[in-house]
Amino acid sequence: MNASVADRFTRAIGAAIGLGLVAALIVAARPAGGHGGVLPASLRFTAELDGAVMVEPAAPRPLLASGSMRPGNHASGAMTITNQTGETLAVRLRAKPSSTALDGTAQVRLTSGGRVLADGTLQALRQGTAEAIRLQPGGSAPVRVLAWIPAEVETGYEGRQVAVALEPVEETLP
Amino acid sequence: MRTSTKVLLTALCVGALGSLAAMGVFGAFSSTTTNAGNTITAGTVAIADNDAGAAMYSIAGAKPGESVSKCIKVTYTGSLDADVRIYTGSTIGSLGQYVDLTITPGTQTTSTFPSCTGFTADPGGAIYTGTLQNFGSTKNSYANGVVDYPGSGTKWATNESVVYQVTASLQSSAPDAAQGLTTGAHTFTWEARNQ
Repeated sequence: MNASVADRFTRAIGAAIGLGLVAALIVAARPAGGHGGVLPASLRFTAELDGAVMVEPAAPRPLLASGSMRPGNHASGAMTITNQTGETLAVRLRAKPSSTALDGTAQVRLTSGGRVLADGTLQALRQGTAEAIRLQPGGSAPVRVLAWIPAEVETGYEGRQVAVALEPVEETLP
Repeated sequence: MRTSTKVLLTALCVGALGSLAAMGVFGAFSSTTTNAGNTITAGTVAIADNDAGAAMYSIAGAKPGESVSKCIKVTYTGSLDADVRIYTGSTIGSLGQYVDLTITPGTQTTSTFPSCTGFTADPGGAIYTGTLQNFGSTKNSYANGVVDYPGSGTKWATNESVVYQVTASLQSSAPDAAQGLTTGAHTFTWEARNQ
């Protein structure tokens, strides 16, 4: 092998090593596929009590703590509300999220005794449940909360943590 | 490649590297630090009861010795620790001098206004005992209101509550002059102020 052939061979080896390093860097820097490479969301629901209605568990104890939540994940919790007044009450629950970060992304369903009180986005729950719970004086009712991020969601949830306070809103019934 | 060209290229390379090194040597040093995300959110003071707007008692045609005892649950939901005082802002009518009033704090397993079923008084007993008229004249503002805390505590914290048993009795010794008199509508106020 003469000098010029050896020179060309060395250059080719060097170029190959260089290209390999560049390719390795690009692959290493590329975000992982799917949802595994991004931070999950988390939702934490608490229930606020007021004078008329007692709730259990009451804030600051959470009734739902989702932990890591990615598209397709669900989390659920439950609470009991009790009418402490001497009147029959219609009680709705209104969400007060700590931020708007998951307003349009997170879905929430509230049910009581098999009846759906609300089913929609977290943002919609800011207006209160569509249906009310009717409670006689001293009466109680269980409320189940289901929260999830739809599987088809691709973005808009990453690393977002939202605390949601559920506030009872009462109306005295005749 | 001729020797002169090689020398020239070498000089260019050395010059370029020298320039880069000089930029590093003579460049200004710099450093910053930041403190971000500063915010202030006010705390809250909020107190509520379970009366749903209804009165504890309303007696017409009361007779000497007649008594009424009702319970009201007061719940503090503010975020700031608070003091709570009880007073009335109402002007008590002339029957008030013949009405004995007792306010006793305690607990209740299940509260349903205005029932006192299951009420257990705190060990300290009543926090006010006297005539309704005296209550109206001596406990008529936050400044001179009756101070009370949940249990043996010295503050009201979030979600703490106390059930108050309010007993009003028309004295059995009420004179004939008390006939037809009235206390007038009166309001009991629980006011919270942060500590």
